Amino acid sequence: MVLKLLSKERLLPFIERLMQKFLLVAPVREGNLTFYQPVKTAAEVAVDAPRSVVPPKEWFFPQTEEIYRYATGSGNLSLAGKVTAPPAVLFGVRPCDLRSFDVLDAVFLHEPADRYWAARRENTLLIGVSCNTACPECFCTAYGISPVKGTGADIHLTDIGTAYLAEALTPEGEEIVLSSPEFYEEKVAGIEEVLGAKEKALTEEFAVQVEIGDIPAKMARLFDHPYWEELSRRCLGCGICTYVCPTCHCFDITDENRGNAGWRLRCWDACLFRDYTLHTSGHNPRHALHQRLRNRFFHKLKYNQDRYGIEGCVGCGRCVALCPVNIDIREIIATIRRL
Amino acid sequence: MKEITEFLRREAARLLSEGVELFIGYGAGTRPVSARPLFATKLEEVAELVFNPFCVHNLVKYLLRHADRKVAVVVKGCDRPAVDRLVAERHLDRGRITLVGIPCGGMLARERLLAELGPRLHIEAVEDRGSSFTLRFPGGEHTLEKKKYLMEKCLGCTRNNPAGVDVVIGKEVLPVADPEHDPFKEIREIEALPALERAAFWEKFFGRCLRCYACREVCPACSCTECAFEQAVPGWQQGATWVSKAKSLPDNYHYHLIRAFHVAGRCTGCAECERVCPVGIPLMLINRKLAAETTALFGEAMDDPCGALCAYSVADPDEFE
Repeated sequence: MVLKLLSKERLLPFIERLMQKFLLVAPVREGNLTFYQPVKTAAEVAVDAPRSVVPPKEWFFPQTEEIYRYATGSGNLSLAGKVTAPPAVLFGVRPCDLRSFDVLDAVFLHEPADRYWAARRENTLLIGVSCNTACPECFCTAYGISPVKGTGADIHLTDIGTAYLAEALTPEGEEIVLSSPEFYEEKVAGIEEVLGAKEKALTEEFAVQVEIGDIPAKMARLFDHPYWEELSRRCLGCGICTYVCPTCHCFDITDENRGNAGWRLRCWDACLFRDYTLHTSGHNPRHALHQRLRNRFFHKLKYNQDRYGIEGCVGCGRCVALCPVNIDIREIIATIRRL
Repeated sequence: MKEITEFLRREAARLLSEGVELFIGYGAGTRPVSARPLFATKLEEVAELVFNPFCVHNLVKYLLRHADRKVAVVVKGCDRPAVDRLVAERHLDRGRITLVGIPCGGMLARERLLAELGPRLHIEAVEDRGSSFTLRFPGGEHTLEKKKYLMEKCLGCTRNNPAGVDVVIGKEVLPVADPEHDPFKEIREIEALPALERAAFWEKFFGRCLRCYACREVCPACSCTECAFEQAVPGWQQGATWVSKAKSLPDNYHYHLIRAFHVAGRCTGCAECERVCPVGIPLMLINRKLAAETTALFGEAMDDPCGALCAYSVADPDEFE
């Protein structure tokens, strides 16, 4: 691991240098919302932007992706499939979202591996950034994530006041940092204390200190509990929680056809949607909303851990902030522990 | 507002002990300055009911899930018309519903509150002072002028005392509308834009749409048991649907414009669609515009509970003649 200091005035030149070689995907502000998008100029990058609505997993797993397209005519079939994975830098990823890539790797790289996910992970340099402020809904530390640690990134930046601490955490990250030594100064002493104090201050900003305990085991007894039906009474059955969640990964494959040509798409899907488990026979194993809502929380809080050995939630707080009817996973966790 | 909450709890307890099986109201939320829908079936649960300027949700649509039971539901003035719509369209039996009307002093715009007062408010009490709300927190209070902090829909509200209800909680309140507020100002500004700029305005918003369908799920006018966007059309074997599942600008436009037309003439202006949207699409600009168009073409829809576009009359305007 290589530790350097990047002064604040050098951040923009650092980003511009990256843009000479890579497509840069970074947080940008649109009104009072943050989105991760490819940028044309370094000035568009909002390094300290508040939490994005759509998590950066979208870069690796786009909401809509063409798998192949086909055309038929005079007895011929042409088929064109592609995997889009340009060399890119995904910049400004928070520690919660960095963890989400590990959660999704467990799903997508499980044999047989998803070529689309794998190619983009392979071709993307990850630059994480520590949080400067925490949203009240955040609770990443409940899952052993630190808001100031860049686990999973190639390079991780932390604002320590006068400069950024730049940690190169992988060989790819080191190569980038060491290839431009003029950007950096050597780190000064006392970094550990600064990071510790920053982490403590951020954690204190969480409105609720969530304790996970042994949620998967507790949930094993609660599948038939009436709690899920009561919770589902206010649930709208929309897809907000799913589509803003950094670890959700369900998708639908659809074919669209225009006469002699067509294409196959992969699109995000939500387990809360009515037709998510609808069979062509008309049977729907999760026909009732409370069955679908229960499934969401069992997957997030139990099944993911059981199947992949990694917790399905990263405590980013997006679903808590955006659910129109205040279905709050922090409250659900506390309730499960009590029941 | 404390007295209103106490009156509400007493009435809820009375209704539950007099044959109502489910009381739908509001309870405290887990986030600052927020409430959430609350479903009480037992007497002890009424103690959690609240009413305050964070009770923004339209609860009427939940009646569709309980159409076979005797249900009481709290309605503000903006929620009330949705009941008539659903009864007229034969989704609900008015005889099984007890409407608990609450005269409303306006609902606070949460985003503006948080931007002004910070994200970590702990409000202990709220007083309605007529032209302002006073929020009391440990160590002090904030007074917020309604003109600046109410939701947009409240600034044009002429119906904050719900009529035709079975129970009224509290006394009638003064109108909250701001006479200087023009709900069509932004619509006119957009209409005045050259076509390319107007397109850019909508592309920016529709490009963001996540197709989460929260707008549809929350909307009382969207009451179809199978939505057009879930239907496979004939030829489904070739993968035909009315709208692609793809998140693309054309498909997002398609979804929103079709939904706006399905809702036109039936929208009751509760503005829930805009409130729930996670990416801030200004849906009420479209719905308000279409409401004005249907009124101009067909007259006030209020007289006809079926709605302007659900009934045919030989006298309807016909531009082809």
